[in-house]
Amino acid sequence: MRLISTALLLLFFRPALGQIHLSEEKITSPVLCEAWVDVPAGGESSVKWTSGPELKIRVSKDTKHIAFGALPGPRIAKLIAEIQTDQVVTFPEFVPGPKYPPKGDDKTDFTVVPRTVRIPGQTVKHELTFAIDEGKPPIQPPPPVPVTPPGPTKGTAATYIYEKDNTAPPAAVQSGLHQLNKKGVLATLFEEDTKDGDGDVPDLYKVPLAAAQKAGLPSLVVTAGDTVLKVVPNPTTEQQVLEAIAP
Amino acid sequence: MSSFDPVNPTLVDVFPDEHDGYPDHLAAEDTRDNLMAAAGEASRDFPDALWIEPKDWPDKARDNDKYKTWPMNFVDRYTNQDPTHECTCHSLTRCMEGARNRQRGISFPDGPKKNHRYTESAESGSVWISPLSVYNEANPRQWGGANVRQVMEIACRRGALPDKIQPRDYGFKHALQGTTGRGNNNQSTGPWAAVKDMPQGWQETADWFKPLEVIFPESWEQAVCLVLHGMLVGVGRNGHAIPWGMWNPSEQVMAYPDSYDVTRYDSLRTVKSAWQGSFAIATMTAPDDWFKPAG
Repeated sequence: MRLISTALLLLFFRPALGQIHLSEEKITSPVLCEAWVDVPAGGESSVKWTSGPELKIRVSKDTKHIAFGALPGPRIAKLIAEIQTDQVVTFPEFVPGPKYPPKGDDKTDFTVVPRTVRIPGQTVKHELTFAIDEGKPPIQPPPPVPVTPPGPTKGTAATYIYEKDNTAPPAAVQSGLHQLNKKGVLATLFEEDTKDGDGDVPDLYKVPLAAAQKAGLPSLVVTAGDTVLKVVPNPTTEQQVLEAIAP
Repeated sequence: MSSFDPVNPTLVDVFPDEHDGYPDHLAAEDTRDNLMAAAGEASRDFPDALWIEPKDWPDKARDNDKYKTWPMNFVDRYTNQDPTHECTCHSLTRCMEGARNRQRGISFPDGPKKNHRYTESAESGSVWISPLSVYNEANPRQWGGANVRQVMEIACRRGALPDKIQPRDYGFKHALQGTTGRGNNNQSTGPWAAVKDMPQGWQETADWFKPLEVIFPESWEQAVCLVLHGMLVGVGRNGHAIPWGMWNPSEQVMAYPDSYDVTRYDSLRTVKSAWQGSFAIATMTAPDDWFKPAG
């Protein structure tokens, strides 16, 4: 890393404003840059730099939140801020330090890290403006990225639950369980009164047992974690067992 | 493995003269009433729902052949007790392992095979149980054998320890050699260990390997029905104790994994005379995690 030769740290001690300027220069190759700015409470600072993977900003204990923006682009306020610029070159990533908000006299360092390397041969000018607000409403975050809903969940366990005084697990069902085990599903028999070494219902079987007792025994209960996906009453064939696990 | 296959007659009704793990004076105590008392809260009568008419036994046998659901299919290893008197405990622990594997939903297509280890044993969480960990309390003198009543009471009361050899590392805090006899690739052998010599705190591990429900048949036909439903039937007869594992409708013999690395057969005559001291473990303690079997 090397510091930009021109004055980098210009701090305006007006109560509401702080600024840091970086020089503009024509980029001929990727350049690392580091600059620091101390932002007083209620202060505002802007940063303009032409290159660099990092911009470290230190805030004091009274800092309420940090807003970053690139002029003339929009300003975004959030702790983890993505700096938007009208120059599609670099998007610094802002990562707050562990002490935000700072306690007492502590100060917190924020690292803003560009995600891409700037294009050599181009003059790039970015101005970063950030404001320390006290009580002002935060700027609305950008709309959430639409998330594709997850597909149907496939079972990870299949339990045939029965009472031995009333039912003998069919051989075909047992074979189905064996086939599921070979496919990585935990497929087991569970007699209603079975306990673990501590004399309790085994943790693994509490949820399927409750589901089976509600549906009536015998039942095949398909689960994914603690979620009951399907209950098949009184299965008798291998195919019923194999099909029960499909999403 | 088909239950209708012809069997080698030299393997039928084999009762070695030198074997005395189930002496007559102890065998005389193995009445159904005594065994049920020994099992305590675990003892169960034969459920009506498990009855299969003898005329339907061949069809049920074909089902078991097709789906690999004989008790023999839930046994993934032989043991070898030679020349000890530990037979009742080898038989008992095969029944415990078979019941546990049946609960686990895993079957082994050819049953136990000499000098063979199934990869499914490790993949499924099969646990091998030490016969010595029960026998040492049943007979502290080591020689002279034990009866089913004694070993059943011990197992139902306090369980058994896992063998020092397992198909995978389960991180057991307590384990014991399987036998003071020959053992094999799937059973550890070692010196005699009295109960007081078992690893400190062993009871907390043994609690996880305990029969919970044990069925005591009231006829030889009920014993066959239990086998047809996939449950090993432990039985003592003619100086030796073994677990019945497959009914052959053609030959009218009962196959069992003998504790000498071999499968042998009891004739129908032997089955009819021996069933009174028999039992089937319907359920064992189940783990919270099949790959951490002792918690």
